[in-house]
Amino acid sequence: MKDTKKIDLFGLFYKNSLVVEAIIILVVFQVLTGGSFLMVRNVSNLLMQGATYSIIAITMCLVIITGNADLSAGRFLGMIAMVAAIVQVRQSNIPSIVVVIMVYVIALIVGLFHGFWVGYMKLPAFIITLATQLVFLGVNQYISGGRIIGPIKGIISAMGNGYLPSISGKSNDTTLIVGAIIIITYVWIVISKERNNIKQGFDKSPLGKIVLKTVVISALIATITIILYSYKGFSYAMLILFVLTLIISHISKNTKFGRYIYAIGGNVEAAALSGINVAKEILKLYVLHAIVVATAALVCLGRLNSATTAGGMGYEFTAITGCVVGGTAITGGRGLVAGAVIGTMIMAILDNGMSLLNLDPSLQYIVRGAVLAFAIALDAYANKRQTKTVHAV
Amino acid sequence: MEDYILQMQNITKEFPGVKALDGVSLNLRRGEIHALVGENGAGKSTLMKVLSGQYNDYTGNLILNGEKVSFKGVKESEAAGVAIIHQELGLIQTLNVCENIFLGNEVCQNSFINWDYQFTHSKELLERLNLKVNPRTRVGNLGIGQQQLVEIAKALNKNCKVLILDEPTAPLPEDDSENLLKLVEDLRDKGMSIVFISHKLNEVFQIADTITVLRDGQTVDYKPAKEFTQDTLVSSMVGRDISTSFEKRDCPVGDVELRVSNWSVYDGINSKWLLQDVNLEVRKGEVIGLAGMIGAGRTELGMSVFGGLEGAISGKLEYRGTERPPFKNSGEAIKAGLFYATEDRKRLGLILNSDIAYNASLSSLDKFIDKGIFINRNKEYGKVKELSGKFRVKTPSILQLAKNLSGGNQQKVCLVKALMTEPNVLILDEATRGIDIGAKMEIYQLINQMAAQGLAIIMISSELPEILGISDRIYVMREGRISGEFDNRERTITQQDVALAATKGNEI
Repeated sequence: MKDTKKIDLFGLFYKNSLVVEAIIILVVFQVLTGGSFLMVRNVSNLLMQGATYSIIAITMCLVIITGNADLSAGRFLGMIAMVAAIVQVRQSNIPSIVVVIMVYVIALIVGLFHGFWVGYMKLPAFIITLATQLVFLGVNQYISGGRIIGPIKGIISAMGNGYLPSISGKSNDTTLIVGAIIIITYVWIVISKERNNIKQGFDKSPLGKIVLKTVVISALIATITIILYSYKGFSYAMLILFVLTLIISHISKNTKFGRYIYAIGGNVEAAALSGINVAKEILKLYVLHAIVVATAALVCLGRLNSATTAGGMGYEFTAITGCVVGGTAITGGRGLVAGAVIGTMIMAILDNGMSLLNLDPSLQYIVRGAVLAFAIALDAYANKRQTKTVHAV
Repeated sequence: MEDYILQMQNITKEFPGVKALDGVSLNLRRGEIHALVGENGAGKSTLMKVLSGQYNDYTGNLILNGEKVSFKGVKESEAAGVAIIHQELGLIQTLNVCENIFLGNEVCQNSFINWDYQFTHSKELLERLNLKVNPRTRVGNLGIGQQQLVEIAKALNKNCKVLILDEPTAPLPEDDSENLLKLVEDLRDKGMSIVFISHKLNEVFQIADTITVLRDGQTVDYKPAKEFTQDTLVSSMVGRDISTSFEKRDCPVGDVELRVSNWSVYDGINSKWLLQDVNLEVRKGEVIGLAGMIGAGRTELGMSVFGGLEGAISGKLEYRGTERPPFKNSGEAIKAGLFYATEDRKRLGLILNSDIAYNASLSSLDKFIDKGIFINRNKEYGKVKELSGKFRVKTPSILQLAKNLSGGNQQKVCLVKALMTEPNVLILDEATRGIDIGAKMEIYQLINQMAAQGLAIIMISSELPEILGISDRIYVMREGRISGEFDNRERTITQQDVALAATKGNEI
């Protein structure tokens, strides 16, 4: 794919659609809110809020890539948060680490359950998770009796609400250090990727483009770090999101499990005949997904400091929309974890901005629906163009 | 001046980074069969897509009936009388014959479909093609040869004057091909001008009046078929001299690697026997051929041994000297060293939206994990490159998506994938279908090499010459049973022997 002299505007936009969308949304809200949108406090707030959704998106994206779905993520998150809250409030002598372990055990069971029905029994994931989401809601209401349960303490509170401690005790020095580590890691990843490219005998990417991209992204990370530094620094929630994204993204690209996920989504019959135990991989994925969603539940519970029956409502929608905005094909087989996380962050920014503007909730729904439709249309259009220019080599 | 119905002059079509067609010309006389031949990726399909209007960003002239034309889509080219029948059938399996024939061209009266007209007209068309089926039959219930005829009926219904057949006989068994070829000649005699694309050179010589040879996107030869011989045509296609005969293989045949006895498979859903009492063995260093008509159960045999078939299996499986229960799934079989390369590469063989390297290593990822859980890409890409080089997969990079490859190259990727698992027993199902002659010869050589390295190979094929040329022993199947077994070590078995066993079923 070289020497196309005509500038392909749509292609350029599509490739960088996440950046373009983010910039448009940021600028629009910055102008509409008269500058309060990108205030230090709101940026921190926004990242904290977005973290919950984005953590769900990390594995939601993989579930979608296999051609399945999880509509129960939101209600599952709500239920598990309620369980944790009730245990912590009513049995205050139980250490919160035990509560965390308990939450993960429940997640394991739910993941096995979903994985069993979707993987081994081959039920449509759409139906089975639609059913379980009702069950989760029911359990939530039953055990809470409709009350709000709180407050939350210990690790769980820290996961959602805590910030990195300071070494010197005066400024958020750790934030600067972590920010620097992130930038160094990023640059290192770029360099080693390029080095591998050369080692594996592929064309070198143009140097100028790489340098530009690296500089822009590093500058972006640095800006965010400095903004957060001047407020309270990095929160644990942001770090959890960051580290989970990194790990699962790496797993999705460089392990058998990751490869198989894409293969199953791309062509399940061919995958099965290639020696892949499709049911087993799907079971594994649903377990991983449940555990990641449970982590999101803890982060969410910590941030809100209490659990309600409405907890988690619609979270799966934000995550699924975010995945699609971030380039995950709703038909399966294609997508990237990092893209899904950024896409979901954009959706969270959109939500936050609209709330900040005090937009009529009915309008907010319309905007969110429109964004999802637009993202899918964009993807479909890009696909159609691609098939038109497909060539036989 | 010659009476050309269609002239394509100096057609050039570029894809980003690749010149697929470079000044190609094709001159089709009225009422002739014009064969278009060339290796995989020579540009045949691209040229036909230019003609049918699927690509319109080319340079050069299209002259139809003396007028310069350019089509913006299949609809326009069909309106002008050019119809194309693709390699992969484009019929809708759930609709009936009549609905398929008129799909997109429904005849309406007062905005309702005029079924009377459609049925009588499709009956006429089917009669013209000697196809004795009721137009109300669901296409999915027809055999693949009959479906091919329905495709032709659909094209005829559009009143086409130029008919393009892109490897029409590739999926057909021998006798169906014969019928189809007769039909094509018949259509020519009635005045139709036909472009015939095929890899089967005997067919080309049988029916073509004129041959155009494409190589690497250029026209390298254009003359009457009579002036070619098998060998000159092949060297013209390949661009070098290659032998079209089978090499003798004298590697020692060792112990039995795989043996099935009384192997039966029952399909509970359709309640019928897919296989009954099959006895078959293959030894180390041996190539056995599995012949028979389509639907005789050859694929089912391969799949059931590989653990890829859902159905109740009974019988004994002996693998490398020990008796064991049938493989439960393909994962188990691959681990044990058995690999089945499928005939249906698009549906069962490849993840089309993923790249070559990804597809090739999918069944053998364990080999590229040094320690822990992460895949060593250097090692993986190295191996893929080595093998795809050996198989001459034509591609700018191993990161090319599988769907962008031509059929033959896709097949080669499937074979690379099979070899990457380093199997002991390899089942090749129609491994050379849709592959050009040069690549075919390469695959035969590779099979010989693999056998020499001690692999046991089961070759399922509908092409008798290759079965006869390469196998040490030949099994013939008919209706789910083995109907004949031949010792072919001296290559003495003839097509008649096999054909007889495949149809009449002389018991052993």
